[in-house]
Amino acid sequence: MVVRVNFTLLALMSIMLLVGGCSSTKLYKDVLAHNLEVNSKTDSVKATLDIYSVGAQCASEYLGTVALDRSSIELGIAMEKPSYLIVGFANSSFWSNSSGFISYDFTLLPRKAFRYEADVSYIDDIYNVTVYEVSQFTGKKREMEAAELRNCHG
Amino acid sequence: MRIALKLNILLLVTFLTGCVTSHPQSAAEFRMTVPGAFLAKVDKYEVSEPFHKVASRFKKMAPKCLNVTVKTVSQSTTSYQVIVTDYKPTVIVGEDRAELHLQQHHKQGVMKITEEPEGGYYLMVFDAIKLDGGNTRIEYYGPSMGHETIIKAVKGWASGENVGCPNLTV
Repeated sequence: MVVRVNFTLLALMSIMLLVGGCSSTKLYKDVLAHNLEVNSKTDSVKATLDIYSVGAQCASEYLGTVALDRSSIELGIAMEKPSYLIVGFANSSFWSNSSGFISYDFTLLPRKAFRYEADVSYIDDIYNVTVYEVSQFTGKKREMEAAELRNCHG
Repeated sequence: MRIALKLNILLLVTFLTGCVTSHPQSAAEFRMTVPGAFLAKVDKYEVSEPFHKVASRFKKMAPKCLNVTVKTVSQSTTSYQVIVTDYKPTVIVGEDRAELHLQQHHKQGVMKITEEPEGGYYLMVFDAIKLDGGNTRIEYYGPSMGHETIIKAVKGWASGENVGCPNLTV
């Protein structure tokens, strides 16, 4: 009985891996100077950050995904160019056969002499993403307004 | 499972209220209808936050969190259902009273049986009322079952604790 259950699980896991392997998700190549720190606190979901470059007429190109699996992650995104960022929260329950995904997206135009912090949380089915701009000279930190983060700068 | 339960409650409420008369066409009508309606309730509580902070969070968080479209898929061995819902928040802030109205419009998957107001059926209304001593009273009008995440999130905006957006997919 136990062996049969294990085989079933193995078969399902193989299918999931196969399907996952065919998905279009790719790891973000973190090659630029670090200017974005993502601090995350989650209780029951897998959080990810999708990064897109934004070109003319706001056309976006998918650059990759970063798993927010540590409390703090630093990465580099293009300076003086808009990036479109999507913070995703995925929850799933194998036993209840249910899954869900919710995301929060914003556009960020990193300026020279500034670094950026994003506080990401998902606690008790309440999520929040707050973005701050921090001056590298004065250390002054300000919360960015939704309007600043919504505009497409392409 | 939870989606199926929510859908059943929603359909039940829609059916029962639809049988009686029509759906409220304004927030004022909604407030008057809720106290006597099946599976609906009025909840009043006080938070130790000044009114201006509560109103400010309503203005900031409602458009950020509740102006969304949610697609839910429920599937079993015998059925497959897709529901697409547009949520529309409205915040009105006055001198000593702020109102948050939340409407929902089903784009797909739910049959309309009564006249729908512009922006969708009223789902819930929150009133924040300025009190002496720097406190604020919150009055909630809406469903007594389901939508707990939205209610919890708005309670957080009022109290200043765990301020964030409700995950409308759970």
